[in-house]
Amino acid sequence: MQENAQPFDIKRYLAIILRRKYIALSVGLAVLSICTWGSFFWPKTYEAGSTVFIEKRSIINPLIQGVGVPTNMEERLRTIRDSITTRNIVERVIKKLGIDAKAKNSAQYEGLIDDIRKKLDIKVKGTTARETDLFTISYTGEDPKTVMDLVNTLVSEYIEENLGYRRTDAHSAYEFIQTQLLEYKGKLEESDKATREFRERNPRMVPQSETTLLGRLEGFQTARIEAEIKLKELLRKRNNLQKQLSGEKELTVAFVTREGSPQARLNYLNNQLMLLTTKYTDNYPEVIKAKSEIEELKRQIAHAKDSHIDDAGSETSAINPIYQQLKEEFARTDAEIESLRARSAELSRQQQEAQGILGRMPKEQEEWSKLQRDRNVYQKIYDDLLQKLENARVSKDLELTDKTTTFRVVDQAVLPSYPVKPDRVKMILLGIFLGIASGIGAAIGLEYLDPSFKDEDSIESKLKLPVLVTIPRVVTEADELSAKRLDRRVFIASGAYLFIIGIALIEEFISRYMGIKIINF
Amino acid sequence: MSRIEKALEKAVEMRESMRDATAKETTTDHKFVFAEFEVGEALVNPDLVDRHIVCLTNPHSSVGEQYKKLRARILKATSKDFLNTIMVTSPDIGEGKTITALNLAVAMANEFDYTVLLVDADLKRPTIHRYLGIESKYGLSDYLMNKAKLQDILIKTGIGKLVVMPAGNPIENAAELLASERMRSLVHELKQRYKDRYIIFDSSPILITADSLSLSRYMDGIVFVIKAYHTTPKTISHAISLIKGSNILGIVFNNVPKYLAKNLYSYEKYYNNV
Repeated sequence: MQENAQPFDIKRYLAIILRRKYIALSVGLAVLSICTWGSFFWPKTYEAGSTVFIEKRSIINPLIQGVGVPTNMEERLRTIRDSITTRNIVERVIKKLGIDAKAKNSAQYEGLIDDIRKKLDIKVKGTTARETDLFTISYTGEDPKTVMDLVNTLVSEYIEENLGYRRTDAHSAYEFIQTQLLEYKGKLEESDKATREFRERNPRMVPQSETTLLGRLEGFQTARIEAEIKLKELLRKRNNLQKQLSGEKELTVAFVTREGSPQARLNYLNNQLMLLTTKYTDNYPEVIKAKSEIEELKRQIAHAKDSHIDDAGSETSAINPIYQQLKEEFARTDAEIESLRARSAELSRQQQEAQGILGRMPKEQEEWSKLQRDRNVYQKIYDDLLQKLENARVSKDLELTDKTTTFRVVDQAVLPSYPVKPDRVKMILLGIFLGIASGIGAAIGLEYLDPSFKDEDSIESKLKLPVLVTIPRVVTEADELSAKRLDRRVFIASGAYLFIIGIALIEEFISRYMGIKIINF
Repeated sequence: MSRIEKALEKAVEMRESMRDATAKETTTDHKFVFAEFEVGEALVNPDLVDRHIVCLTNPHSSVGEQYKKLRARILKATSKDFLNTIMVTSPDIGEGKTITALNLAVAMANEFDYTVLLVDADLKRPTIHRYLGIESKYGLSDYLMNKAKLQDILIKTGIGKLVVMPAGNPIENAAELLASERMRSLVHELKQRYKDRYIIFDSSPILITADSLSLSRYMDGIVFVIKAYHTTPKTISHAISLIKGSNILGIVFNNVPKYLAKNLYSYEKYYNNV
């Protein structure tokens, strides 16, 4: 009646359990037995694990060294997993261990590979930065030796392959750099040669700048123009001389030159006088002088006309000095003209050449800078490559001498002495726990599953009949005694049984966790 | 006419009919037995009585109190109409029919001035004599089969005015015997003789045998015993449906464990402290 008013009464549950103590006990013991003895008959699976150090920074490729590819742990783990369980490695392991004998056909073989892959577990050993390079590679299987062998073989295969791969990688990197270096050396040399040729082709090219060239060009031009002007002068002089020469008789030249031409002088003086008289009076000394000279000349001319025939013979035999003088002058002028002409031609040529250079200048400049640029580039690459080659050589040497710690087995897998499954200690402990839980559960569960009447109210409501009285259970001394006797028997029996299980548990615990083997089951 | 007048009239009628019956009985061979009602030799030895018969062994215990309560309620329900033949039954075996019947009988015989006849009508598995630690040569079955006289099967217990009628030697056709005319007339005789007489029948389980069904026809009232953690609603409903038409006085909720009958046990504590 008070049942509903009390939602939870520990005493009541205890009483319920005690009421069904045999059921609780038997269920509990049954569960415990299943767990305990099940753990002895359960197929054993062994696990062997190897700890491998796999360095995060790989020096695989010196070419991309320094770039650094940061990857997260998961990705890394997956990468490592994928690389360890490559078909190639697994197949080699299978072959090496000879476990392919089990596989009769290709489907079974595939199954075997899949099975190995599935049973293989790769974990990061720790979470701290120092430990993230440590990986445990473990494998579970039924035979302890196979398990150990498999892990060790797998790890060694993996490391071998990777080291080999890395070795060849470093090697190929080295070789690649070397060939590149040679190529660039060739290019550099070519470039040098081209530069040299260019220089040979354009000897004056190299040091010249445009302004200096222009200055030179101007110099040439001025010099040439000066020479031409002088040449013109000389030519005019030469013409004059020639004219003079043709006007003078070879032999009379002397007379004329000695006396001058009185008539010309007379004419000249007449003209002079005429000019003077227009400006000055007849009393001007110059005029007077001119008049007197004219008079003198007139006289002379008249006298000369008188005695002309007489003088004819003496005149031819006389050498004209003026003519001689002119002739010499003419020859000198000619020589001078000749030399000036040559100079002018030379200057013109030089000027033209400079002009040509100036005209070609952009094209050559371009070619030159291209050559320079190429050379610089090649030089730089060559230098870089030279350094990288050195790096690669170091890497290669490091790996070849195995001084690198990229891959290293930290802990070799050992022969597992205890199966990872079933863990009897855990199984028994689980059995104890489950046994208690199921015992209690069975007792209480049965209480609730039991359809029988447990209180007056339900009787009255169900049967519509009055409950006349509720009679408590009468426990007589005899009942109690026999119950106690039975209890004692049951408890002794189950206690003994539990003791056996307890011994088994302790033995398992000691041997598994302390490594002391007392009894070998 | 008021109810009381009616009741009085009925009582008068009853008494007259009883007298008639008694008069009739004198003609039978066992009339003298009922005159005395204290026959037989076997007196109950208290040391041999089963400890479950708390009304004998520990009448002032809480359980004894509960039986007294039961007695009170039955008297209340039956005395008015003088329904003095009461059958204690249950659907299944081992639910406490016999112990309930015995305790009830003892409680009645002890505390009141009632003559109580306890009949072991479980002819197949009779147990009353064992609980009381008595032995008898003959019993009900023998009487019904005409092998014994009524005075031979009535045992004086020495517990108040309690007389016990054992089941007698085991028989096979119990149902037939219990349904027989002889049984009917016996019940009638026992019932009608005195108004202060209660006849309590311990019967066999309803769902197991047909005996109780046969017997139930002659009963004024039926008490069902339900054992906690044993009797299910299904079985009791079935049992009730079988004796439909009979006057079911009520239920005795028996063998209730401590934690379910907390109020009763605290009551016990109270008594013990006193």
